[in-house]
Amino acid sequence: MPGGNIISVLIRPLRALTMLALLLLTFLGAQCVYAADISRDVRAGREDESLTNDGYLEISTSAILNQMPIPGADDLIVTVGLGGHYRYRAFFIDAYAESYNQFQFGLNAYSGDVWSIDLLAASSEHGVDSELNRELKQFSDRDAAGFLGLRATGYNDPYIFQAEILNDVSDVHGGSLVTASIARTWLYHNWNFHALLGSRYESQATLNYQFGNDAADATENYPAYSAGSGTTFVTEFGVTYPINEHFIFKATGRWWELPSAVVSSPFITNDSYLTFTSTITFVY
Amino acid sequence: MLLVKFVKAKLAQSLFFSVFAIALFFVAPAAFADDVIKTKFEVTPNRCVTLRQGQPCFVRVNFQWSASEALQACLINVDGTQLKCWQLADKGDLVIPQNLPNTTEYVLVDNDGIEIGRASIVVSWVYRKKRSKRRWRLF
Repeated sequence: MPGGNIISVLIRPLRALTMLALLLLTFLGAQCVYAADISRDVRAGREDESLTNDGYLEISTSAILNQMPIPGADDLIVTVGLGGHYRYRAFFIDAYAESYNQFQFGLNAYSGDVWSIDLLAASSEHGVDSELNRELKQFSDRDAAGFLGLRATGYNDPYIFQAEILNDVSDVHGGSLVTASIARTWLYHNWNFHALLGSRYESQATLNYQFGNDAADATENYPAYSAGSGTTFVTEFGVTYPINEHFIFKATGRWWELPSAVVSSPFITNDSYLTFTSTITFVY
Repeated sequence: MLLVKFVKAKLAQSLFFSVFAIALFFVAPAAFADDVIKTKFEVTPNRCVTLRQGQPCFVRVNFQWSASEALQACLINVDGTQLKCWQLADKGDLVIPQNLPNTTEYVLVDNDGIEIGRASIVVSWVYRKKRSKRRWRLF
């Protein structure tokens, strides 16, 4: 779930950083063609490949109406977020709240007219958003894991395809995840509509870290629980409208279907939920 | 005597032409100015923003023009497409939807095809994108 702590994200996955730094030193002289996370690409489009040094900052304020199946969670959340995207040659860094990987960086390894492949390091804090319930926080507060892997993105306008294979290299849980997503865009009178279908398989170690509860921490309300591996599905509809050159309006509705392997977790009350987010973003 | 008369006649003639020239200098522009038709041509809005560079920009354009006297006028795209003509009118307006591929100019011409007004709509964007065809590469 969105909302990773950037500081802890930067400190924890030291091994991932080291490995990626070595890769960067090896390949930094390459030319550039880039892909980004599909949730960003579906709004901003494929990046400009003619520029070797480019980026932008984003400051956004969002109102999130959610039905997260977390005991005691608020229905309405207002947030202010700072994100952005920057690249130098083949190196890129990306912080985007609407992405499953809230903070990611890497290196573009291959690019053609349709496909682009990245070596990707990502930090993700998933599972139960413990900020939504103070009581739950002591049970479900988790560190962000540092993942390393590959990402392939295909562009066949108006479709975008993306797949990721990532493994935790930060010793947080040692698990892995595989994602596959397809998105389509429509343009009507400067309103950019999109639909996205995504699936995310997570290993037992990954899901259990997020939704499991150790016997040592168990209480009457939060009994011990061990999750298995499983797949999360997400269906998303969204619209993006440029108010002017620097401000955009975004609205997104997401339907989440959690894996059946976590449905009995004491941290959740249901295996599906809906979120609706409206955002005003300043892009500079 | 004859010489004096001749000199006086020449002076009078010079004076006459000088006065005539001076009068012409001040009066003629005013007379010509009355012949020049003053026109005003405006387009609103004059900016249109897309999310991504290269997208067509949709905008409902309001064209307004006025002239100091009635004339025949036609509104055209710079590519020559005629949008509307007015017959002997001293003002006109038009609201039409436009899908602009990029910054676009509009021209108002009289019945002789002479330009009497020009205005443009600037198309800009939030996210830059210049995806060009290129061969693949590895690293």
